Amino acid sequence: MSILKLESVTKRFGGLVALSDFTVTIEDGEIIGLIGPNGAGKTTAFNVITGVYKPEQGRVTFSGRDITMLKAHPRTAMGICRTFQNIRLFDQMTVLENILVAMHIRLKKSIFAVVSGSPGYQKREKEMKEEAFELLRYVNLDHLANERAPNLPYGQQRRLEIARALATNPKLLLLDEPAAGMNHQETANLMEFINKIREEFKLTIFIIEHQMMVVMGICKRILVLDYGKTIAEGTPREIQNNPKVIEAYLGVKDSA
Amino acid sequence: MTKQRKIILLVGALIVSGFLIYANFFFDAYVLRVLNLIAIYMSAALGLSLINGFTGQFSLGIAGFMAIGGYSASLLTLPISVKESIFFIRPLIWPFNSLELPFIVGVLFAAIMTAIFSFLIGFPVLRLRGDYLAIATLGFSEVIRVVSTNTITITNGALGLKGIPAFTNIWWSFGFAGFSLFVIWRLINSSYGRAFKAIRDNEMAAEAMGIALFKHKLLSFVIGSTLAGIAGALLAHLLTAIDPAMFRFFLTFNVLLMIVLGGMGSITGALIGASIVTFLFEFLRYLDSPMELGFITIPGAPGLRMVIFSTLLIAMILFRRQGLMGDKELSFAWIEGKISRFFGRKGGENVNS
Amino acid sequence: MTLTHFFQHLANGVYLGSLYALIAIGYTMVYGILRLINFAHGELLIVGAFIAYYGILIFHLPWWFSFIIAIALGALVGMSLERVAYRPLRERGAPRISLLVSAIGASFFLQNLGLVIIGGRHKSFYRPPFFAQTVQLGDVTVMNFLFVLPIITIIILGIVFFLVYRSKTGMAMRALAKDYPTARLMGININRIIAYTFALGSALAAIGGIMYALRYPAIHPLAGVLPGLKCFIAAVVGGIGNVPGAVLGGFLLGMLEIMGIAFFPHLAGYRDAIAFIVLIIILSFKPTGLLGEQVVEKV
Repeated sequence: MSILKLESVTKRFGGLVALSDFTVTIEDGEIIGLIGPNGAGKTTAFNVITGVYKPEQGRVTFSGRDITMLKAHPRTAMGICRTFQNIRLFDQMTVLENILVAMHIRLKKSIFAVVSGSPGYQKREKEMKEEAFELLRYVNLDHLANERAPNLPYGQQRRLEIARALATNPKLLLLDEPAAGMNHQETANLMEFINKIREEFKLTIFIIEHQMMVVMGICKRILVLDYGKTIAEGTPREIQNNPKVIEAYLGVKDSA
Repeated sequence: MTKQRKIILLVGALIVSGFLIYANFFFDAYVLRVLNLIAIYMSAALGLSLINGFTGQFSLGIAGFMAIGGYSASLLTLPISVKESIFFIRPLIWPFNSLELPFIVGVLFAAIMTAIFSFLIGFPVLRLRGDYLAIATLGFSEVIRVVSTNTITITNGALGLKGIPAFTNIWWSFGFAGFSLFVIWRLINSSYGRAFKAIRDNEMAAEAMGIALFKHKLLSFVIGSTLAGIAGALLAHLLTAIDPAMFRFFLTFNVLLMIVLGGMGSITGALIGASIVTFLFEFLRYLDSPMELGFITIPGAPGLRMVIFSTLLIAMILFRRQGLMGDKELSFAWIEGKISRFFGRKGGENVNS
Repeated sequence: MTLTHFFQHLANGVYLGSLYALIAIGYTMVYGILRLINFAHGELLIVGAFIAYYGILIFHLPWWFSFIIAIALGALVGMSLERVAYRPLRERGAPRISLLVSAIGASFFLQNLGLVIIGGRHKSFYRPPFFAQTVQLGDVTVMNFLFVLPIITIIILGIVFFLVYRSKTGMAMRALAKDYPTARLMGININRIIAYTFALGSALAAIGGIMYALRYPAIHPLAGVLPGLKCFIAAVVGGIGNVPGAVLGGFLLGMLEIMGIAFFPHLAGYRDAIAFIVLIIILSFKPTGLLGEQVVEKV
């Protein structure tokens, strides 16, 4: 059973059709890329998957369950998590707290237990902090645990956002332009990082990117969107040579 | 909490209790009243701080909830004979007209009523954002005020309730302030507190991390408003008389000023803000009434106090929008640091900031 | 209710609706551009009334001249308000809540400054003899300003519509309201346009305030609060940010208020609560109001 299926999804905003008849099937463990010119509807697709938007037509199925009209927050508990195009960290909280927030859904303690300081809650809180620290160590951010999130340099903020998403125990991870603003070396590190977490956490990854180096480098399959419609789908090589894609948009080949 | 911190807390509690005992004994009635007011407003400010400051939901309805709390409690505790005499236009409805219950029951009833009302009001209102939420909560607060002015058989209308037993004393007011402080402090430093702050910082990201937005906003709204409701009950039993005019937007403005002054995302800030504003409000009372300076009398200017307060609010938001404390707290680490410095490095090695 | 009474109420309703419409426009224009509820707008209407009052009382100006001065000074007060309480926050990129808090502060400031300067007792607004004249329409005796002023309102609305929809400045205003960041890049002098918006809105509020004082001559520094809030509600009902919507909302609310109490006199005490309940219903079910457009937030 495929982990994610979008069938003929259409999303409209008034007169504007952001996504038209969008269909994709993603298998467990794949890394799929989504590319296209700006405004092609890529982030809209993510928003439909995560439940921020409900489509006018079509169906979204996750691990066999129809989640098309499901609210956004339960989807995270089911195993879908995302990062954002313009990093959305909790900017009045520390690095550690950002991770801990993502673990709140797994708290399973009532507010009374929390306020009364029940031993059950205290144990849970301790466990969560340890788990959060473990995650920070894994991404090499543990030394900054008590630092305010906005104080981190850009690259580390990106890494924190991904770590935060990992803290929700996702099965499907949606990365929205994770390499934006990175130089060559940083991008190479990111690619290595993505491969590492996919293996370590048994993830399926759906990634929007403009940097061709990333897309061609780690994605097994790529979808190309233009004006809300899928204009091509295939392996990196197939996409690179597809005349329609070249016509609509193809980034400059990276001087790798 | 470490043993050291438990000791600091205990010493602090002893100092405060000692001060309260002394105050109760030696201070005159007026000063005691101001102290009681400070404690009551601390609780209300903490409640508003939870909603506005920590969860980022800009509610302007706190006066309405204090009204609900004040009236609910008083209707239960007012002696039956007093009820008969003050409800002279239309009699009070049953069951209130035949009830006369102890203070604690009144306070609990106030809490329950406020919780119910805030729960119900939260449904339409918490779906809104920013200024719309502000105006809707303000609207509800005003509706409560207008309804209490008109439902003469429950609230005695514009005449209000008089002769409320003066049950509130320094132990009740500071006790409840301590309770509110405990609840809010525990809440904010918990996973739920982080969820609230996440909603404030970036609602969209919070939702993406699985946090049920509406449920948490409602939780924060109900808890904060209920604290304010109980504060209202305590207020009623301090002033011994309440009327709808007491709970107009003016009251919300004052509590708002308290948390803006103190710092909207800070517990310590709410306490400091409440103390300063309540104190100033009493201290500047002389500006509103005529002043005798030897042989000249400067006529009072009612409203001058509020001119100063509103200037203060605007100045704070213009020049120091984060308030006095920002989102920092009086932390144990800070206290420990000061203590070790005072005692010259005694135990200072234990301090980790 | 007799037909006579009905027409009386109708005339009152149209009158109240007109002044609500004028004041609501100010709210909606400011909200459209700044996304700010100018809490202090309600104060501007009573400021206009009082300037006119003192113009007549102290400076012995002819009433029509005093009215004009009041409108001009009202515009000035509105612009100063923006300059002092809102612009610094806007330029610093402060969160919108800060603007709201500042607006609340400004509102209380003006109210209480009025109390300090003018005092808490009601003053009696001068009703020019021209306005006190009555007109006979069949059985109905109506004070003529109940007709004259709505007609003047229509003329003023015509001018406002011309300014907003046919002038270059109006176009700039609408551009800023539609897409603030892009409009800035188009070389529009934001500060000037916003000042202009406040000036226009405040002038209209002052006119509304004078109309209000003519109808309810007992004026008081705090008398602007409730009408101000109701006009905001009117703007929301019509669709906040939408000028024709504000006019529609204003007339609707004015008519509803008068006719509602006319048909249900025992609800008179609740008239203010009704306005708020209408607001909450609108916000809950159709937050964009009657004529407003759905604004989609970009992720």
